Amino acid sequence: MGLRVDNLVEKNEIQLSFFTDEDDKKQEKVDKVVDQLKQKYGYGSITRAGNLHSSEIVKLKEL
Amino acid sequence: MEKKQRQILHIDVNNAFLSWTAIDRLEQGEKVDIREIEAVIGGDETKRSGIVLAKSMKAKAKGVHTAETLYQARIKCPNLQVFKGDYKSYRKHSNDLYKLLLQYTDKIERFSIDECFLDMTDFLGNSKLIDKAYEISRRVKNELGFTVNVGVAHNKLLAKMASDFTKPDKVHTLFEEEIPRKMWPLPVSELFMLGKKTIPKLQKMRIKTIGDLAKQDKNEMIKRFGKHGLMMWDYSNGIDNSEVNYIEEKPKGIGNSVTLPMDICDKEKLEEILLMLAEQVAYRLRRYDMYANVVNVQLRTKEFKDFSHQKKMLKANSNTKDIYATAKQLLEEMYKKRNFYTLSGIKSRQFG
Repeated sequence: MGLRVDNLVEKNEIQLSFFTDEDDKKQEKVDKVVDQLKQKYGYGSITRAGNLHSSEIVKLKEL
Repeated sequence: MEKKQRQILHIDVNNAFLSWTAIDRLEQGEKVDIREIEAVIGGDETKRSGIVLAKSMKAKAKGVHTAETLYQARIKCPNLQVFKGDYKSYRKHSNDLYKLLLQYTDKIERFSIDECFLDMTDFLGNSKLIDKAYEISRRVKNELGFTVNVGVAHNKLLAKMASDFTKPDKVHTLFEEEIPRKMWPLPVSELFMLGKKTIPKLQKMRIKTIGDLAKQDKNEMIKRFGKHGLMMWDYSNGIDNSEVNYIEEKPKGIGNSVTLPMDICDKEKLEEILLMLAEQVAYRLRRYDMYANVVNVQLRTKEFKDFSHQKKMLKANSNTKDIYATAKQLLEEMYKKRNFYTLSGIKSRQFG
């Protein structure tokens, strides 16, 4: 099984919409905190509750 | 805030051209490893570029030097075997190395075809720089078939000096406190970026070792040699603030895939694994400061038939949550359309 994201754009090239979605902002904050922890303590140091056991089933290729 | 101490590696392929040609020949079924005989890689003698580009250890032992003519080399070493260089192949080996190193950091400066600087500062997690250096050394040897020297230090200059200490297949550190012991006894000609014209001038000043240079008065050096004097003095004291000049290669797509065990066919398990993939893909996306518009999910049946579905998201983003939600919808679609049990034993496929 594979997952891929395409049609990538630079974050700062995105035009800000008039209505900034509060939920988007919140998600961005959550992700940012998780990313910082991953960078500081290693990729596997934090993960979502939903996939805690996935690493027992399949092995993810390294970054 | 105090600036974080930088964690720098310098990777230098041992005898690059000769090693790479040796590997190519072995792959083509040749029995002799030219690293083990008296051999050189030579330029084209008919085009008056018949010089030694690289030499084996055995040729080196006979006194063969890089850049001397093949004619001279043959006098020293009558059994010398000369092989032609293949730049296309060298580029490929160099790219293979670069790709492997990209698994350790995004900040890589390709200093030449066979040398790279790595800035590991933000990519170490809780592992140590020295351990990563040994890991890289081992993996290059096992996976790519040639050896490298790795210099381990806190700036580019010291990493580069370190990788040059003893060869081949070595990892050397050169941290600040090791400078007096490891770098200062070396002849001043060994110092990086020191021009041949400068050496006699330094010798007149009774500067023989790097340590002699380091003990000179800094302002005196600037007075005599200008900017270059300051650089020499800084280098001899292990000071170098230059950044690892990496090219940020922005990807067009980012993906990852996993091999599923044969027995997985329930949707919840698949969703869990999908979340794991989404988390990593979104993480990488954010590291590039990019947003994605499209999400694509691929599956392979046990008959090895690949199929994929994709969907444009409402707006470009890099949230794990949104990317996962879209991926989940795609999985749902595929789930409905196909007989799901044909999906067990999906094999991995390299994406991105």
